[in-house]
Parts: sequence; C-alpha cells; structure tokens
Amino acid sequence: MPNLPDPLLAAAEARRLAAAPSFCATGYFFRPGIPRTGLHEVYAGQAADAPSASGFVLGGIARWLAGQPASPARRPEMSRQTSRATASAKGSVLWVRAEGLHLETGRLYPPGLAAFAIPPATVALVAAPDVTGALQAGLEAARCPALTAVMIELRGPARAYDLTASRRLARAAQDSGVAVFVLRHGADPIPSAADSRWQVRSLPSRPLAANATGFPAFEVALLRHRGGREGQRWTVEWNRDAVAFDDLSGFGPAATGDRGAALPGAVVPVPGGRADAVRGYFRAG
Amino acid sequence: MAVCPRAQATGMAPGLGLTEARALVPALRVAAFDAGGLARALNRCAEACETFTPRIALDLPEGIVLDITGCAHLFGGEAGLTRRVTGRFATAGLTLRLALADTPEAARAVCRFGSGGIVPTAQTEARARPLPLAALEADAAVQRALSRAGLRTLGDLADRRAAALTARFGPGLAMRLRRILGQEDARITPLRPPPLHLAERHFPDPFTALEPLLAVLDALAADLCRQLAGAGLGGRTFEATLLRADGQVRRLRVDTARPLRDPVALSRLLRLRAETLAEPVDPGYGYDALRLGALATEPLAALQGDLGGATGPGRSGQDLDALIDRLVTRFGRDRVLRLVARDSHDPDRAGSAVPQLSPAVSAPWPAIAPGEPPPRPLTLFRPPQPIEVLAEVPDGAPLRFLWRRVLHEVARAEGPERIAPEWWRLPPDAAPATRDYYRVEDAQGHRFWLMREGLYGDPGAPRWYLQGLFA
Repeated sequence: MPNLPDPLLAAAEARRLAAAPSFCATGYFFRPGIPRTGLHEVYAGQAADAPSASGFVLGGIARWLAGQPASPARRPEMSRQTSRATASAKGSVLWVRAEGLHLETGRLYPPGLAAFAIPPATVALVAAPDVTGALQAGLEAARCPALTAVMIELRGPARAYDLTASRRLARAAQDSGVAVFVLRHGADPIPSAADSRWQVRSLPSRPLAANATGFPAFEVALLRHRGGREGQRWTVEWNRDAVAFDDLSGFGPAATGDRGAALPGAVVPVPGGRADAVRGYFRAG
Repeated sequence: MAVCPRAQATGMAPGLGLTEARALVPALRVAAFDAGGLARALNRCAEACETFTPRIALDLPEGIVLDITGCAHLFGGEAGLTRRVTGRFATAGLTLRLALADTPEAARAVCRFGSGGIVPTAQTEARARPLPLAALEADAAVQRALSRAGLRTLGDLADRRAAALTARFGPGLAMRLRRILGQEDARITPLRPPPLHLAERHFPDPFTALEPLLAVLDALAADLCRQLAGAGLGGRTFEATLLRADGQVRRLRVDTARPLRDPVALSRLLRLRAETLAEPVDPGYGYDALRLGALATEPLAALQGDLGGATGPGRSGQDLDALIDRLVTRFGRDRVLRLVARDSHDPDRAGSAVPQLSPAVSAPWPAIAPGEPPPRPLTLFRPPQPIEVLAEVPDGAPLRFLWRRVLHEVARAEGPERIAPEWWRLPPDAAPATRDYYRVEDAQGHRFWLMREGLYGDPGAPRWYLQGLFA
C-alpha cells in the first residue's frame, strides 16, 4: 500500500512542531506521518503482552530522546537547586502506574530500561492509588510542556477512563506538545478521542547462536488513526544500537496458527522451533 | 496516686488501700489502671497546649512543661496566659496545678512541692528556699542521708558549701539545686522541634468555614516567604498547623522538590494539600489559631527574571520541579519515585525506585555491550514467583514450565547466568544459595527470566522461580 502523506496533515504537523518548545527532527511516532504529540492508546493483545506494549512505547520514546538537541547551558544556581530533584532538560518521561500492576506484571526494573535506550535518570514514576488518581496525574503531567512523554498504564476494565477523560487528555496533550500514551491490558478498546490506537503483540524472536533468545520482536497493528492510516500492520524487531525498529515483514511467525490476520505480502511460514538455527530473513514474493 | 477535690472532701488521700477507701465510700467503683490510656491522654493534653506555644515537653508521669518565652504577650501577659490555660483544662474537666518560673526545674518544684502560681524573676530563689528536700527528687538513700544530717529545706542545703555536696552526693544533686534556685538554666527538649521560621495568627473568635481558613493561610504564606527572603533561604518542607478551639490539632505538610520562596506557589500547594486529604478537615467548634512554619530550609539565591517574562528553554527544569511538587502534594512523598542504581551484581539490589525527593545518589548505570539482546527484564517480581519446571540436570535450560496454571513450552533459551549471592551481606552461618538465571522464550513469543536457586546435589531440592518479564 503506497504511503501518500496527507498534505493538510503534514502542514498542521509542521505548524505544531514549530510551536512546540522542544522541537526535534524526529517528530513522528513509530512511522512517519503519525504525529507524535497527542493522545495514543496502546492495547496489549493479551494480558501477557503487557511488557511488550510498554517496550514498544519506550522504543518510540527513545527515538525522540536520541534525536533531541543538546540542552542549553544552565545557570549555576539552577544546577545546584535541581541537581538532586529532577531529570535533566534533555528529555523526561513520566510513567504513571495504577495500583495493582506490580502484582500482575511485576515492578519496573530500571536496568531493563537501558535495553530500550532510555536512561533511567530521565524517568520519573508515579504509583497512583487507583485509576482516577492515575488519570489525574497523567492530566497534570500532560499540561507540563517540559516533559517529552507521559505513559499511563492501566489494568483491566478501568471504567474511569472513558470518552470524557480521553478528550481531556487529548486536548491537554495537543496544547502543550507532550506525547501521552495510555497503555491498557486486559481490556477491550472503547470509543475515545485518541489520535491513534495501537495493538501490540509479542512475537517469537529471531534466534541467535545456539538457539538463544533474540532481540524483542513485536507485531504492531494500527487500529485507528485520525490521519486515516488505519489497518496497517508491521512486524518489527527492536534494534537498540541503532535506536530503531527494524522491519521483519519477510520473516514469518512461528507455526502456531492462532496469531490472527495474515501479514501483508506472500510469506512462507517458517516453523520457529528448536531444531533449526534460523538466520537472516526469508523473502518470498 | 491522685485524688480529685470531691474525693478529698470524703477523706481520701493518695496511697490509701482499697479496704479503707471502701470504708469511706461504700459504693466505690474499681477499675484496672490503664497506663497506655494515661499516656495517650497526656499526649492529647500536650497537643491541646499548642495554641500557647510550640515548645512543649512531657513531664512524666502526669505533668506538662511549656516554654513560653516570648509567647505571654499574645494572651495578655503571664496572668492572662495562666488564666487561659487553667480555663482550657477546666472545660475539659481536669483540675490542674500550675506554676510559672524562670527555669523548668524551678517551675516544677514550685508546682509540685510548693503552692504554685507565678514566680516573678527576682523572687525565684526566695520562693525556692522554703521548699522541702523532696523537691530535689533524689532517691531514698540520698533523702535519708540529707535528713539525718539535719537538713530540712532547700534553703538549708543552699547554705552549705557546694564542693562538699558534690563530693558526698555527686555533681547531679548540686546541679539540680542550682537549677531550682534559678542560678542555672537549661532549656527543655520539646516533643516536636519548633520550626525556625514561623508565622502565626490568633483569632478572638473561632471560625469554621474553609474559605477564610485558606485565605488566612495565603496571608501566612506571604509572611513566611518574606521572612525566608530576608534570610536568603528557601523552604523544602512546610507545615501548616490548624489549632481548634477545643484543643485538637491538625497538621498539613507539604514537601517540595526545590527550595521554595514564592508565596503564590506555596499557597497553591497548601490548597491542593487541603483538598486532597484522606480525611477532610473537620472544623469542630472552629479554629482559633493558625500557624505556618518552614521545617526544612536550604539556601536559595535570588534569581533574575527575563525582561519579557516569557518562559524560555532554561525554565523547563523549573516547570518540571513544579510538576513534581504538585504530584508529591497530591499523592504523598512515597508515590512519586525516581530510579537509582546501586553498585551490586545481585539483580534484586542493582536497581530500585526511591522517593523523588530523597537525597539518594545513583551509581552509574551499567552499559550493555553492542549487539547483545536485553540482558535484564523490563519488570521484576519481588518476591520471585515460584514455578514448576522440567529441565535437564545439572544445569540445562528449562524445557517447559508451569506458571499461574498455564503451561509454557520453551522454544528458545539462553543461560545459565550464574550469580552468587553477596556473601558479605549475609549472617555468618547462613548457607548462601547460588542462583542460575535463564532467558527463555515460549512458543507464543513471550520472554521470561527464570531463576533456579540452589544446585542439584545441594541439600534440599533446587527451587525454580520466575523473576521477571522481558518486553
């Protein structure tokens, strides 16, 4: 499917980027044409795909942090005052987790962030007592233009997150130029005012030597998008050294049969088992 | 131990036995002595005295000491203050004996062993001399020795040479005598250390509405920030004390990420705190005093603002600090966290989340070699989740495992990564168990970090756990 950029969308995006306080070259999320500011919803395919959804969002954020201009020279008084308290002016991420997530998927482990090229010093965590508190924290953070991204992680059928809440978040995000992500697992998509809605699933990775686990691989589907690019799917692998998602569309999934709709392009499904040590891509058609 | 005036009228005295007391009052009710309840009641009385002064100490077993240096003028002099204190406790149904003197020990001695009342400065020694020797509150052997020597009052003791007393009874007795006579002074140690910078207001009539309360807090914030500006300081922790007319005290505490001196920001944080309290503020019969203090301060140099006043990129750090302040005020200090590293190869200790405002310094984060897949998971279970595993002996990777009643078939695996425990942190006789970590991937593509604790052949079968989840 050819990707013709929408001229109106591109012009609006250019205006918004120019007005945003932290302008950077990579102003899109995951693929060009999807503007980075605004509200993005990311759903995990199953509840077990929750870490993959977080990893996908972190990868997208890491690309912005890697492309940021260097911070301006700071005055010495400010450096003394803020030395202890907050992240540097290069880019900051606020991650809001609702209560109970640590029982289901565990607590955030800081050394794991380095695998997604995010310096742990740039992340601030908020452990909200409930869904309403998480949404309040997310809304306050969405109004702060100094942040690069805000992630709000919710579990289960969070009824407090409805159309009104999403509209408020979307408007706050558009006004301040912050990218707001709402990660949900164990829930179905609801009508909302989000600029884009994604679904992320974890895929078997390309094995390394001796059938070792490889780099994280995801299947990403864009369920809904204001610019009209819905229905696209990508199979990607996260490359930390290049801070980018490598396309794996030629490499088939494991022969389990219940992975959902087929990927675009004629593909020979390769049984990803322990018997073969598979290297490289297979391209067919 | 103590009798109320009505009981005294019937002839009872402290130290009377139960039989004799029953003989005096046949319909006597008996209850067990509740020491904990007494201590709690005493603490509540101490709290009720917060309107008078912030420096309060307990004078066990049934006394309170107030340091009223510089507070008496607010209540109409020392006489007015004693009237207010007596009146407040009378409305609670408590009888009290009160003494006001130069030094805490003198006041205590005059109150317990003398007639109480206000002791003017010049007369401290004159009032203390006639007190009995029991006012020294020394142990029985010392009291016996002194009485055998023919001494009856503190005046007799004061006339003796101090060197002789010290040689016979030790320096403590002489020091206590000097303090009671007002020759030496020592400040009390208050229950709650009072703030260094304080602004307070007392009201002639108590008020109950919330809006005037917040308005007065705004005014106090302006006063306090002016004081801080004069001292070149910014506050990191503020506490607003709301004092009710019936003696109850409510405290609102605000922590900030950076030293704060701006009255508008401080008022906003106080309002946010008042609105997000777990139990809403209950005025009761009304508030008659408000106090705002800076408990912790830091030097804060004055910043020059831009001419245009517009926020430029240099201000983004301040915006972020303000956001952190608001989040800490709304959710509490322990719910807004940042990530620190510790120089340890034990995965449990290598990284953790600490409160954003804590001063912990992070060690440098270890770097990952290029071309390597993620060595550590994105989430970690603390404590690790026990699982059942089928694996090759002695150190083969798992073939399949059962977690939360779901069987996972392992498609790819890497390991073991052997991490021995930090033996220098364990007690001397503990048997440290070696841990082998495996990065496995199941047939659906989910990646896990499994751990085997203990080796095959060690006493006790090795146990398998799921430690974390990869993306």
